[in-house]
Amino acid sequence: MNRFARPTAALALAVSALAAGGPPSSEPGAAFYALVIANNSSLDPARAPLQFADDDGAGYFELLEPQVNEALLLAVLDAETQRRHPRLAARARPPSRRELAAAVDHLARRMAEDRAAGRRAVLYLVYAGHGQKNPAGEGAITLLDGLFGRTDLFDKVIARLPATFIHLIVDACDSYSFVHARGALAAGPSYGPAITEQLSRRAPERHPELGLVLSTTREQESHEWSAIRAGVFSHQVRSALAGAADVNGDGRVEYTELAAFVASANQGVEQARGRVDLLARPPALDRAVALTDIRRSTRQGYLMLPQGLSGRLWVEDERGVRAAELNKQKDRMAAIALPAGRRYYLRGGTREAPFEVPRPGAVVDAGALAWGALPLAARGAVEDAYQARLFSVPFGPSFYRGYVASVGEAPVAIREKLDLAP
Amino acid sequence: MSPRARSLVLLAALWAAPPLSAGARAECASGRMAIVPFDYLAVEAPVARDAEQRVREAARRRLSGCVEARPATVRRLERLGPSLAACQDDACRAARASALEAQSVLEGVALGMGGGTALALSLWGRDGKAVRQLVALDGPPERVGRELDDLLGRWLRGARGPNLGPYLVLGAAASAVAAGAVFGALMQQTQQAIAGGTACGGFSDDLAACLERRMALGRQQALAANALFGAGAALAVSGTVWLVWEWQ
Repeated sequence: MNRFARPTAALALAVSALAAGGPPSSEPGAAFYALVIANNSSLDPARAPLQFADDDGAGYFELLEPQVNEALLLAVLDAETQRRHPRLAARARPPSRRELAAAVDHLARRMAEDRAAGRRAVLYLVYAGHGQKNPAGEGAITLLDGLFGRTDLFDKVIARLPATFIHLIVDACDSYSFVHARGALAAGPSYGPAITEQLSRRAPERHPELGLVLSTTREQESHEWSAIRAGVFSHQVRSALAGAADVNGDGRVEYTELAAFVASANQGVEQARGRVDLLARPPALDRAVALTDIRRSTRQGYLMLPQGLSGRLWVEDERGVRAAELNKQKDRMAAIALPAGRRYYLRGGTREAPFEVPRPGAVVDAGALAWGALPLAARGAVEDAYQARLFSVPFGPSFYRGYVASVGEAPVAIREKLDLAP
Repeated sequence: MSPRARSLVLLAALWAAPPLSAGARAECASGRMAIVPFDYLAVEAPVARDAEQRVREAARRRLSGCVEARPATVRRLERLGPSLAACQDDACRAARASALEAQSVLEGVALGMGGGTALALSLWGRDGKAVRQLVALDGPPERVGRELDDLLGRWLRGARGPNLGPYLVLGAAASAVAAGAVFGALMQQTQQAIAGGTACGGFSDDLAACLERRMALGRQQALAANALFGAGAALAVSGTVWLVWEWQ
């Protein structure tokens, strides 16, 4: 890198962060950051560019930005994504090695200040895009100007950031395809499992602050979902992080809850080649640390889904961006965090209920919404057989207990019933 | 007291009388209320318990002895078990009210999202039709109390069915105006008869007395017409205000 280039890029990052505006999300003694990297393109001519990795990057950014003190986006949004997320393009930087290094420098400085001030520093590090092997044979993610391998990740990112916790989320299977055209793209060797295996093997020993949420789909297709313009894995993870995975209603989404939620969302997909699998490993330092905590004061509003409301439900905003989806058990409550200042539609089956989240902190009670018939155009999105099987299994305490028992993890505490003490 | 004074007193009384207090009329008229122990989401159990206590106090202020004590409701719930615990429709809620042997049921969920605390309340009667309200618990206690009062008031108005009072007042207003119109027409007939010389027949000794009587009659008719028009207008305004208050 040109020695002048890095400060320039860092300054641009700082300016873009300032432009984010708004009060920082608050939790006494903690500072939160997000670095979202998304890249549609492929460095391998034999592998088709992705369609929706940039949409996933935009989705993660819009989910995390209101929750953190500073969020950075490294992505080149395509024309359609810029139309759907009109204010993001001006804030995005290219997903290149140079910009990534600048972003890490910037975050390292801010985290060092936080730690010096006695604050915890928590980072969400997210990547959506192609993955493949680099010349050294390591699993790598693809940036615009080259591969970024496992050694790079640990030496140039993880080790440089004085974070208390780093939540690493990687949706990097080696090839994407439309759900409607599975198998139509050129098929090459799959390196997704190699990447995730190596990441998961090395991470815990050297970096107890690092938690992992990785797509481990072993098939060529990593299942982009054209109807919602997103990868299936990322859509499920974002839904979980928005609060849908909070199985015990304590407001926190822990790693086991996210893993069980994603497992339940894919439980109905019978064919192995259509399933999305993940690896979720909490930081060794604190295995009960929360990925998100909706009790924190943020710039989001909330949709409360009361008991009684059940089945497959999803929330779309006025732009048609699907913000969250779940299959809710009838006797469970849930709260979904949503960016404030927008109109949304809560949809389920053949009906929908419009609502607005007017300001940060606002709570909307879904039990009080007026339901109407879902327009035919919106119904088409769930008619595909594969899509219909996603989120077809209700997620609740019973599924969670079974899942956690099967993977041998310690479960979160689930209260059985109301407090009926006189 | 002259007729004019009497009508003025009546009008003043009509203006001053507010619609009957919903709380006073609902003094156990709507039966016993069961407040289900509050649930909670993204908040600790003591917050829900505290919120429930505040709601119980507000409900007792409004409904006095009609609110069932918590231990009694808990005993009923323990007997019922988890059945009907999560209702989505009117029929399920109606069954729940019936199972709790209550005329009305109030459920609440304490919420702790976004750094604040709020309460999602749901209140329904034997028909299962619920009124829902979100109440922020972070505000001053008097505002929380007002919002709870508002919820209870709205439900009570819905529970007692449509109030015929404002319609009766509007009907009385229409009758008064119609009667005023009749008296006005009679007064005009009297006036025309006097002016046309047909009011008292030919000349006679009684002519002066007759004219005096007919003129007095005309004045009474005019006074009655004016009083009825005035009363009709006042009743119409009162009925409209009452109706608007009922709709809110």
